[in-house]
Amino acid sequence: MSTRLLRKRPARIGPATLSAIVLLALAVGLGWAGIAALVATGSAAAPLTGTSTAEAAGGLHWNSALVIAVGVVLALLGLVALILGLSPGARRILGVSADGSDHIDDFEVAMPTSALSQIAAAAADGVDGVSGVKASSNAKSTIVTFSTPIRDSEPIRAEVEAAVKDRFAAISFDRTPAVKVQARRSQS
Amino acid sequence: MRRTAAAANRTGLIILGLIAMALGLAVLAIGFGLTASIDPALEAGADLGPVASVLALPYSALIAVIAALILAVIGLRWLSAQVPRKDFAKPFRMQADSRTGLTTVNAEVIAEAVAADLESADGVSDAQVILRGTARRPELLIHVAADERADIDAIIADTAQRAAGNASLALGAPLSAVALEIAIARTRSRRQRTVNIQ
Repeated sequence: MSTRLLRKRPARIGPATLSAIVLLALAVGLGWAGIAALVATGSAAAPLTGTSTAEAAGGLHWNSALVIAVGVVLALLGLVALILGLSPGARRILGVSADGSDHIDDFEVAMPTSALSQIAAAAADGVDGVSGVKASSNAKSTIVTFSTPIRDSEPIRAEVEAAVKDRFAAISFDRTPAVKVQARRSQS
Repeated sequence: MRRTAAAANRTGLIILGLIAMALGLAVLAIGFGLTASIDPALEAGADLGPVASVLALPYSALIAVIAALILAVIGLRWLSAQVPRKDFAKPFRMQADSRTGLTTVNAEVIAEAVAADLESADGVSDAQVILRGTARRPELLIHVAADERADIDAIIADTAQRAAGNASLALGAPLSAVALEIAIARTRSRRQRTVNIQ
């Protein structure tokens, strides 16, 4: 199959929802002004003017600070939306290689980057002397930060790194993520 | 695992982005006097009167209402497309000869059975399954929540061999595609997981 069943890149649901809401707000504002003008004059040929905002806008100059600011904001928002639409975005899953079986023609296995963090944190948590763990991952690497009450944290750091690397090695990732371990001394 | 409107979202964002950027840059170009050489009316010191006068044209209120309706339809459709869809297969028709009657099986029912089968495996705490495709070419989408210390490769092998085998046997056809997403089940913090031995 050419198309993958699992989505690798973000679907941009947040920005799309926000844009849709902005479109709806514009529609409400425009519709409100239009209907108000239609009702006020009572004829279908009513113009939209007469509101104070329209007249105030007519008195502005192109080089006034307000107009320039609106232009800058519009251009920047447009640029952000364009980048969000064009850039593929961070990969949200990691491929795991797996043998299929006779019952399956096409087998696809993946693990979200959040699962990677949780596995790394659990592996680090099992090391003696570790009092707290945080892990964050992208598709290529995992950063594990652990806290320990021990003054010389280097031996524990090495042990944590070995534990996390062992755990990752036991999973047949297409590309095993790199592991970086940082120690933070906890106050105790 | 559920379907989202990823392509539509990106297209919409690109179109909106281009429009907003073009408008913003046009405003800036006039504001900084770059367009005065093209049209003297568009010099930096001019007021926005010509733009505002468009609103004074007859029928502009009606046009605004129509434009608002179109914008509202686009906005609502785009918003409703954000709800992720499961898109289960239509009920499978399993009979060999439709003259003797129809045998239909709901895809949800099979998916639930596969999920229950998966949950019986070691290290799997929760499974969600979506069945798509047809009775002859079924596709399974599986989301498994595994324990954080579970043997991931064993879960994958078990899914491929046992669970997929059972599903394929039940459907009477090989599975044309299986997608397995393995997440980690949320467990309580270490303190709460501690077991006291007396």
